[in-house]
Amino acid sequence: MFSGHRRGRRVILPALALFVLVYPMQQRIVKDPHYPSEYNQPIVNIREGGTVAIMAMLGGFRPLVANLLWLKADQYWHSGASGWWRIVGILQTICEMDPHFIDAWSTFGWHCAWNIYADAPDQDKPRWIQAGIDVYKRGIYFNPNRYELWKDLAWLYHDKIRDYQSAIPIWKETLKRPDCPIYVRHMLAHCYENTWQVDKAIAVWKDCLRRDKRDYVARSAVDWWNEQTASKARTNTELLRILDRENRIRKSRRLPLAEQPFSIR
Amino acid sequence: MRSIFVIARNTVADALSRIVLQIILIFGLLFLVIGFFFTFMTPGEEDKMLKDLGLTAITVFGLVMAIFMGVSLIQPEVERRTVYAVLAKPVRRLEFMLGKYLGAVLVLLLSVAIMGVVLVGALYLKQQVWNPGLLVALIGTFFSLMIMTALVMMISTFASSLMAVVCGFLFWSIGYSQIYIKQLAEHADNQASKYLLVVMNTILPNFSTLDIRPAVVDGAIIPMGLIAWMVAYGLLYTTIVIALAAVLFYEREL
Repeated sequence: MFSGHRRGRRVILPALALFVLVYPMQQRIVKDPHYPSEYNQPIVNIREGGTVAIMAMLGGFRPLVANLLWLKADQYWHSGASGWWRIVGILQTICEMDPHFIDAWSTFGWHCAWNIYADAPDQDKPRWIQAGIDVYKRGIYFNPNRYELWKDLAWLYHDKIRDYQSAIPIWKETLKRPDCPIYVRHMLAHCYENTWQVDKAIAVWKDCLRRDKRDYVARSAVDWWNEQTASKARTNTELLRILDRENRIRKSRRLPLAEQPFSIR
Repeated sequence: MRSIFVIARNTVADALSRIVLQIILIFGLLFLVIGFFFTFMTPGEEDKMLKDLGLTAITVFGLVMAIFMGVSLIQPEVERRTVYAVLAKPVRRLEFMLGKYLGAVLVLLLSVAIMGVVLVGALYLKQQVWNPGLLVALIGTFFSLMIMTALVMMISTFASSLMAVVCGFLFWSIGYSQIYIKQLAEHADNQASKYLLVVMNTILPNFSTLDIRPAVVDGAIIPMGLIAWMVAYGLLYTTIVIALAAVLFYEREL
């Protein structure tokens, strides 16, 4: 085929040119609307040279390392509170190694905002809550179509911070994601109740019933609200007193958030 | 054409009789099975972990096999002087090289297929659910390994085996870091380094493009059209590398 050296050398340049022609093909794959591009995006900042180098060395084996670290995290987890602090670094590394490891993000955020929060000195508590929020937001950035992290973030605002007004749009976002469990709609209704948006709350409960007639939680909520709002003579103050007595509404407490959270990339 | 198949058949027979390759394959299979034992301690997402570990194990052991075979296709034949006996017959160097490469790819295909079937079977035994979609993820892996074998074979035509192995791992790392190389090129202050990075990004293979494992593990459905593009990319890239390797092999004084 190639009889001489000179002839062979002449083939090298066209071969190199062909590599350039392959590039548009690779770009065609990456830009295909069906290509899972969220799995092929930079997960660390290129200015963090050392981390980029580690990622490069690991090649396509990052999920394997992440899974092995997950086992280590599990070991610390069961070693009690002394392991709680050690686990933070491991969870952070797991999330960097495999940013699509939903359970790792979920555990990491929960660990910051609940476990370590409980263990931390008072002055540090707001920072750990903010760290939890940052973890969930970072996880959502990599997994925008998964409901789990939206749900965790909404729950953090709802249950821990008790900032129901901020939780409402996050619960709504959660509901837009596929496979979202039924109780998420209930949580949205509770949020409306807690922010005293009774009409919206009742509308959501009725929507739950429309979707599933056997939803007994929604059924009892609708019945309860019908009973309470039946008497037109009741003033809002009276209604509030009843709600408070029956523990239907949780007052917002809005735990303070930190201006400077811990650095969660 | 016939000579290519004869050489390929001999390469397959030779590779299958090698104890090193058998050990790699056995280790790969063992790793797959062991993975099912130490998942009991993982809280949640056991399914993801099993699939991740299995697919990554196949990739790791496939990569070791690809590099090992890529190195052992040409260089040992030259060192043992067996290549002269073959080339003395009416067999051209290109045919010799193609036959060797085809044999190596068949062994690779066989190994990846065996490990893939074991993974799917083991997952079925564990969860009573068939996951044939996992085999789709292995298509991208297989074509990445095909490119790797061709690249290592190309390097081994003019460099030592050790150099070819080192370059092989380097190509693998670069192939998975192309996204960062592209970013670095965009942010480079120095024009020379910018051009160098652009050339690297354009010419060197992009393995992360072919890696659909994480998406498949998360349950994403990859359409056949996209897989066809991936296959075309893998085949075209491999063809160019083999063409280059053939040129270098012709240039070599035997």
